[in-house]
Amino acid sequence: MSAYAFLVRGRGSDLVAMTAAQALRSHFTREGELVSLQRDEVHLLEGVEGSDPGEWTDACTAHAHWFNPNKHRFALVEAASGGIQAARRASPWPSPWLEMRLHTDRPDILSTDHRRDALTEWLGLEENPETTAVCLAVWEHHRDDGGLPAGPWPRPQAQYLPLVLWTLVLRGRDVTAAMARAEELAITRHRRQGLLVHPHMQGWAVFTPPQRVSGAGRIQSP
Amino acid sequence: MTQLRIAVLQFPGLNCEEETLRVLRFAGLDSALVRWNEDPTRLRDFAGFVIPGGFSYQDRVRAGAIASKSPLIEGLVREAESGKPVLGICNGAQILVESGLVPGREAGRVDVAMTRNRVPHREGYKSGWVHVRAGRQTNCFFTEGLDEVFPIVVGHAEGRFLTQDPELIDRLADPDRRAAYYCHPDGRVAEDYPANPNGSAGGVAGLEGLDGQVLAFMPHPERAAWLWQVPEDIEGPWGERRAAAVARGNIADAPGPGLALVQAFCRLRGVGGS
Repeated sequence: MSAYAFLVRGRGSDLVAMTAAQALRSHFTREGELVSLQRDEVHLLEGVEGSDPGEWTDACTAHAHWFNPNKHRFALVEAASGGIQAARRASPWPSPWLEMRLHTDRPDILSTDHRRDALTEWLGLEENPETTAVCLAVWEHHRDDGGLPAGPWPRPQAQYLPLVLWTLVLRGRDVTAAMARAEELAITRHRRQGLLVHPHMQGWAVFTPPQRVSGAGRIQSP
Repeated sequence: MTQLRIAVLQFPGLNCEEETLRVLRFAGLDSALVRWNEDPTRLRDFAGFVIPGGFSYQDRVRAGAIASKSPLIEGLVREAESGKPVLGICNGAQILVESGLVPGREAGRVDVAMTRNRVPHREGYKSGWVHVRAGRQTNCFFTEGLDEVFPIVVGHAEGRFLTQDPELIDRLADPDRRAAYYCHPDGRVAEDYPANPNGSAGGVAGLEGLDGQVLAFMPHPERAAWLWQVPEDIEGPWGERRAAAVARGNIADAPGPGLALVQAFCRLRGVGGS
């Protein structure tokens, strides 16, 4: 089964991410520990064999599904399949997950090396030997049937899962420690611990964007 | 008689504070607004608290999530743990759940989510009148003695109580152990839309916390505090009361069904409330 993913981010300032970063810095982190916090949307499509990625982009832009090109940047990338199953059955998240750029309104991230990691370039994180980037893909439990919303889709029977992708850049180079710390900051288990994910209504997978750090591509999920 | 002082907590984006203050005054209670950026120790001067409805911090991240981390909520937790009652209405309920005050079985632990409504063929915000009933085997301070079905207003997009805690799931399986639940006019539990406006399992509309002195309540009692606020065509005795009051010409100051929850604060006069 093949899969696509739309990566989407607003063109303006992300006030949600800014507010969340401010709350984390005010209440939960040491000074300078949280270098940055980004939020992206990921619209994951599985069961799209044989369909042209351009058709998916056209369907989205024509009917304002998930993004509006006037307000959002977007890219449609090829994804490893298995993410939706992982979300539903708590099985391991596919790794590597997002690989190849297909359609985007950001020619600046296009590369002649199509096998390079799409997520790393999409996130646009600056190289910094003193920091580690950690991503959390977050989905809601108890969604309805997992099907597409009504619309003229190239593959109407494709499975669909919307995700929020939080990217925390943390001070320090220990990848294992950074992943554990990112989960601690993100998962709301206590009033004084965690903000971005509610474990009673959401599932998540935590991973480091490939190519950024040693031990790249390791993925953990609860 | 010394008036009880009740604080209405305000965070940026809440929008029901004035109505809430008005209803507290209607109930005979002295009330004042305490804003998010005030010294939390000011809360010591109050006998009870209400967090009203709205959209604190524009519901950024999740409804109630940002406000729940604030110093004012830390101050509120201290007051609640000392035994003072707290009523959270709609977004206030979401803040209480995110703060761990509800259900509050272990200090600060977050055991419940308020997630988006899930009803067939519709998404998003739901506003309208529903019927609610209080469980009869809870120790909820606010619903004590409320033994009738009453109509009330809801207005929310994320009102579905959700937990993965087996003990809590077990407790909420019994309607009488829910602080409040959506029901039909005859009192039967409402499992389906529209009587159940958000798809909450068991029709849970309110959940108590700590030893019962904290209530996270999704409907808006301040929008049903006067009888004139009740629709003419509402089914059940409250509709009949409204019609009778109109016929008598004294509907203007007649109490509505939502007032009783706020009047619960008045019982503090009997236990040494300031």
